[in-house]
Amino acid sequence: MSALLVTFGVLVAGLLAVLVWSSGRKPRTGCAAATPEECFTSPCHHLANLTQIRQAFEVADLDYLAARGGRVVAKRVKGDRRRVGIAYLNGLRGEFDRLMEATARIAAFSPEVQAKQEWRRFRLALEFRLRYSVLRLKFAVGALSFHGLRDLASMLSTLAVELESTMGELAAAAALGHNPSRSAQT
Amino acid sequence: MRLNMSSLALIQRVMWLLILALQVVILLIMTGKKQYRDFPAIYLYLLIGLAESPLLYFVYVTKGFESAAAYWTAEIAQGVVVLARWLAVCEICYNILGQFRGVWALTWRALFAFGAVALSAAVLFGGHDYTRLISTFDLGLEFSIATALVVFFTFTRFYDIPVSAALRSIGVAFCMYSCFRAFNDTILQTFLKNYAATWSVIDGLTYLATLTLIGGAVVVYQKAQASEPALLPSGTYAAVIPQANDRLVNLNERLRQMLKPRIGGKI
Repeated sequence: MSALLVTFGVLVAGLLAVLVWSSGRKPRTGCAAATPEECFTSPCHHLANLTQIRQAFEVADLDYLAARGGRVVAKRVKGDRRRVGIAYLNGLRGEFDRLMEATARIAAFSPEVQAKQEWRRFRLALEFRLRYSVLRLKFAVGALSFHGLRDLASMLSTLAVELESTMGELAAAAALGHNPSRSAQT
Repeated sequence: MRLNMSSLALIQRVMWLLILALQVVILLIMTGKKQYRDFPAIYLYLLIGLAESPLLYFVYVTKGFESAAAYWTAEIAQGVVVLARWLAVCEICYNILGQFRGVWALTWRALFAFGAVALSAAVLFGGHDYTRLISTFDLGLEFSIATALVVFFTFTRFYDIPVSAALRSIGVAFCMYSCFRAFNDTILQTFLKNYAATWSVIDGLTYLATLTLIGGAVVVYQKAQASEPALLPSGTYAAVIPQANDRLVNLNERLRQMLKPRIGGKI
């Protein structure tokens, strides 16, 4: 068999694989709104649980349990708390996906898009997903602190709130007949 | 079970008849439903495909199967069919994404770039001698159609653009046909005449499968009643997306810092 045949065979198989992936339905993130504005209606669900998650990460708690209940109990609790932490991390990822979906909708419903910004967004989202996967792995083996998680959660919330407020401003400006770009930049 | 030449010839004839029948049926359905208004390029592609067989038959009978006229007629006809398929693919893409003006402006440029790169790569690396030149170019065109369609569907997924089942089915049919044809051409490039008869049968089978998918799609296709989507005000994108991208940069930076080893506070 020639190298050409193998190369094209692999390329065609790759194309068919991407075709199957791309022609499938995108998993819903809860943002099935018809317009981009509706995607920003209820962001930051995760913030309400931040205090409990912080408690779950308290090292003093585990030390106390180890001293009073023994190592077995402390280990079990530690495992349970890690699972809760992973679930929280999954929630943050869901939040991120919803935000990405909302920005994709803004691009889709915009009369003009900038190739540079789209490429940047695609690259950054990919970078986030890759880093998130490594982070989750580290988290699963217990090598992560609460501080990092708190920062990540607050940054996601800030992003969501900023996007929501910008969309709100734009909607208000459009209703008043103002130039939305000017009002958003000021 | 090994197929000899006479069985292959018989299979080929049966397949030609099936293909002709299916082409006629699809064109009749499209005419009856007036779908030539919505899909003129697909209609034209099917018409050209239908006209190709009688034309080739006429040339083979009058000039002989091994004649230069027969060879060039077959190659030129194939070229016209592939270009018509390119047009049909462009039409599908426009039908799905055309209403989303901003994304469409970005997508068609990307499709053009990816298509051109795929075509160039296939022509450059597909072999250069005279006997292979036309099949190399055919391979390149097929490869570029498949690549453009895959990139297109990736865009629709990325932007979460709704695609009707019928249009998706036609797009997938064209993409799979182009993939198989490109691969089939590559095998032909490698084995040349030893593979010619089998190549023809496999090509016919994949075309039959493609026509079946297109047929199913034109039967179920119903033109969307909804009007054009309401686009956002022109400044929205510039106000939101760069800001969101800046936030993403910070977010990634935060993640990068979190992934650095640190002391204390572990669970």
